[in-house]
Amino acid sequence: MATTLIPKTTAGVGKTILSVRNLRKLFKTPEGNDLLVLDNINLDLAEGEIVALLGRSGSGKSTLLRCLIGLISPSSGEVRYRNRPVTGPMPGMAMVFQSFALFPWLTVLENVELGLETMGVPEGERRRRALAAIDLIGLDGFESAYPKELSGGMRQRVGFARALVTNPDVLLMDEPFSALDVLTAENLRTELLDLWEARRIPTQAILMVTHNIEEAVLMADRVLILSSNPGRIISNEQIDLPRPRDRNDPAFLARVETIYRAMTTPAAAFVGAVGVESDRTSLGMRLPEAEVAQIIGLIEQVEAGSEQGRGDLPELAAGMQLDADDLFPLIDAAELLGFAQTREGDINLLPEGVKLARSDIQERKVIFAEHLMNRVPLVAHIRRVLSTRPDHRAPRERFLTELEDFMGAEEAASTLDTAIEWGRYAELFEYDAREGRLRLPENGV
Amino acid sequence: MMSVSGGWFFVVASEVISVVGRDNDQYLPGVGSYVGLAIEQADVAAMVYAGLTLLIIILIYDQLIFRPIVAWSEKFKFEQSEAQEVAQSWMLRLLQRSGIASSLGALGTAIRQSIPVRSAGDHPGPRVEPQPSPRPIDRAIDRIWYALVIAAALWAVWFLATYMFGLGLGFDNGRVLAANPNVNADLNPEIARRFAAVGVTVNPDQTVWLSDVCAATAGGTRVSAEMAEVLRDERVGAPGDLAAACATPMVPAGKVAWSEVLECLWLGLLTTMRVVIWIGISTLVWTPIGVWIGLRPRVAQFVQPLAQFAAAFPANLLFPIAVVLIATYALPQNLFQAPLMILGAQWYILFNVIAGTISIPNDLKEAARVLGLRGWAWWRKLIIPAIFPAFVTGGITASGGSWNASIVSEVVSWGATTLTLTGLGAYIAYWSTGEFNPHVGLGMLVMGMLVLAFNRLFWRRLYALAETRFRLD
Repeated sequence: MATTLIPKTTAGVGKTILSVRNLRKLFKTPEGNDLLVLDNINLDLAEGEIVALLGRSGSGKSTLLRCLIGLISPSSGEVRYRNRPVTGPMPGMAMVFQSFALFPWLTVLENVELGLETMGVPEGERRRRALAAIDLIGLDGFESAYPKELSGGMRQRVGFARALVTNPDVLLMDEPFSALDVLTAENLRTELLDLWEARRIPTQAILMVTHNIEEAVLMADRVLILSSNPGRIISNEQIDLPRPRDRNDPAFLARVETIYRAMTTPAAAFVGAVGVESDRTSLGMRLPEAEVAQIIGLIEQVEAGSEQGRGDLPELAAGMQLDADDLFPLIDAAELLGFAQTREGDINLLPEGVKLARSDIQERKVIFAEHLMNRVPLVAHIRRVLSTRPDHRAPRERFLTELEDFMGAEEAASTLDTAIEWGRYAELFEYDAREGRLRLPENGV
Repeated sequence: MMSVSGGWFFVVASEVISVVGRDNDQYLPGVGSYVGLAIEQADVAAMVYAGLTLLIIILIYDQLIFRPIVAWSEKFKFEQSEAQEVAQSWMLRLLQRSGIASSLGALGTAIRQSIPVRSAGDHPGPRVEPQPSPRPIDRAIDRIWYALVIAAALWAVWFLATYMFGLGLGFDNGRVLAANPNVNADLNPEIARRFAAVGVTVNPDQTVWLSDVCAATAGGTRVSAEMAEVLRDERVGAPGDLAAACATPMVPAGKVAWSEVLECLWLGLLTTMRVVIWIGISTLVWTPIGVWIGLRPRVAQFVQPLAQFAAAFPANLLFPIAVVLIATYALPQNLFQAPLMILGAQWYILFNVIAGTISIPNDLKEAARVLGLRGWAWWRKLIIPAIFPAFVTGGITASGGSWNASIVSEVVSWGATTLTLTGLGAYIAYWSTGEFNPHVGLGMLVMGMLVLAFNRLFWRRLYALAETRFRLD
């Protein structure tokens, strides 16, 4: 069902700079199993466009970005930059990191000069160009500061200056604003877009990875949506709104809504992506990393809303001050536990969900426990094992080993942790983290 | 784990202690004395057995005692979020899950609770009042106390100085006294007996001081035939002109002369140079290897426990191999015996470099690749600054370890062969005759001061630099 999406050429978009054909990436797990991270990726980045790569955590979007710049080599398929195969980092492509990745022992100026130094630019010109980039990005007066003296926003400015000083053809950005506070991020986004619009930077195309839907709609000409486990491109949305874009513009909101819709289709969702249809009833069902308190908080929020148990996802995300990335696991969990359903970018509470929202703490635990036992095979399995054992105890590793037959070690651990967290809340079993052992509650049946 | 190796090192070295007043060395029952005897008798099989025994002991110690404690201590870490790598120990798990351990724990709790403890209820705390200003009497007591402390400190210095130099502090009427050498330089019991037979005072540790020889010969003027024969023995370091030597005023028997202090400083300088050179060489060798390993997590996972194990193994067990090689092939000692001091200490550099490399954030390594850092620039801008703090930690430990080891490694023996390097370590080892004496005191003082100076002037500065400039955060 993998769809190949090659963008239509729209007005103002020039020739292809970067292209990816049939890219697949497998990682080896420590147990020696192959884990498919990216599958059948095809994309083109053309001159004059900003493309956002949107996906949930675990969709392999950062891996894809690293394949594009040549930091990771794909298992199969090909990446070409200006018609030359990419086999490693090459001049012309620059990258901005989520964590800034500045060299803490170099000053701002030295950090910015570094890329020029390796290109063999003579010292005088190096200094001139670095100072120009520092000036362009608004870092004047901080040339001799060390990164640790700077705030997050200023550090990322250094990150941008360091990338832009080499006059890159393509700028690749890996969640460049997600480590910043809301205001700083907005400020930096606007400034970058201003530079781009005014053609004050020679960069021909920008590709950015993000999990923030509004950010993608605000900045990009085109949004590519990646599914999870493995990552495939499942949607390609053109955002043909004039810049600067207004977050309250109905057209803007409609785009956001469309993307939410695309991201809540089963193909993009967390649970459906395991590969086997019957996984909902098997032990191998992956559980989203969602805390009980947040799941219930979400259900309460929807129940208390004006639309009788229906909630619009973008509104919910804004209301709960959650990133889409944080919201989706909660929705997945609510859906998986049978408290809600999503359709077309909306969440609808089921009667059981409404009941949960209106109960007190003790009743909630009972309802939650009942749903866990009926709908999460892993939790039911743990209960069963514990009650058949004479001492009602079992080590965590016992279940971990079982889960690892179905998924990678990391996912197995995260799924088991989620099951333990949910089961503890529902008082189905207790867990001693120090001993790494699960046991039935003292008064348990 | 680092200190464990130091411990084993000196257990092996120190179990054979000479006890004053006995003809034979006193052997404490243990692997160390077993090794000591094996070296004396040049018994290869016994050395191999000792090596295997130590390997097994270290393994058992690590698994049963050290690891459980490390894993248990995770509990007391100040961390809200759980760490990625948590130390594991099957032994601890066994203890935590066993019925016996939990019933013992319950017993402990029961005993503790059965002891009546006064609660806060019947023991009201002190009332909080402003501190009263000190009364004159209190201030007077304070002054007396300080005076006593200063007096005690001055007395301690005086005691040490007279212990080492004698009551005149190495001077007599403004003249510097000459050294009073031990004429039985090899501490040979037979020579000592012969000196005793001609009426010279012989000390329990077999030393025979020149001043005592002078006393027995009336200042070198009345030398009996028997005495002359003893003095002519080539193993006796008597001065050619005994009368002239005796006429020169020298320090009291067993004490240190100022000329010896200078000699000791010179020896200290030689040992310092050895430490510096070999720390430098092992840095050059192990840094690239450590970085190579650290960049490959799978290899590191495999190598780190091995390196720790190698570090815990007492290196002096391997010294005899070096002795045999050097003696057989007449190799230059300075090149082949000197590195023994770094044999056990080099591992600190290796695994600190590995740890430092592992802790480099992946993003930083990626940024370096994207920016095209290659070759020397990659080392200079990324790797060296990034591993610098870890390297300094390793370097301090390694240099401390090699100072320690210098005492053992500048004099190594196998059977009848003994190889000695000129240095402070050999000086201390030579004078460690079983009784603490002024010469050992001098050696220790000089070594202590050199190590202190070395740390203050070199490592401390690097440490400060690592703290301020090269921190990865």
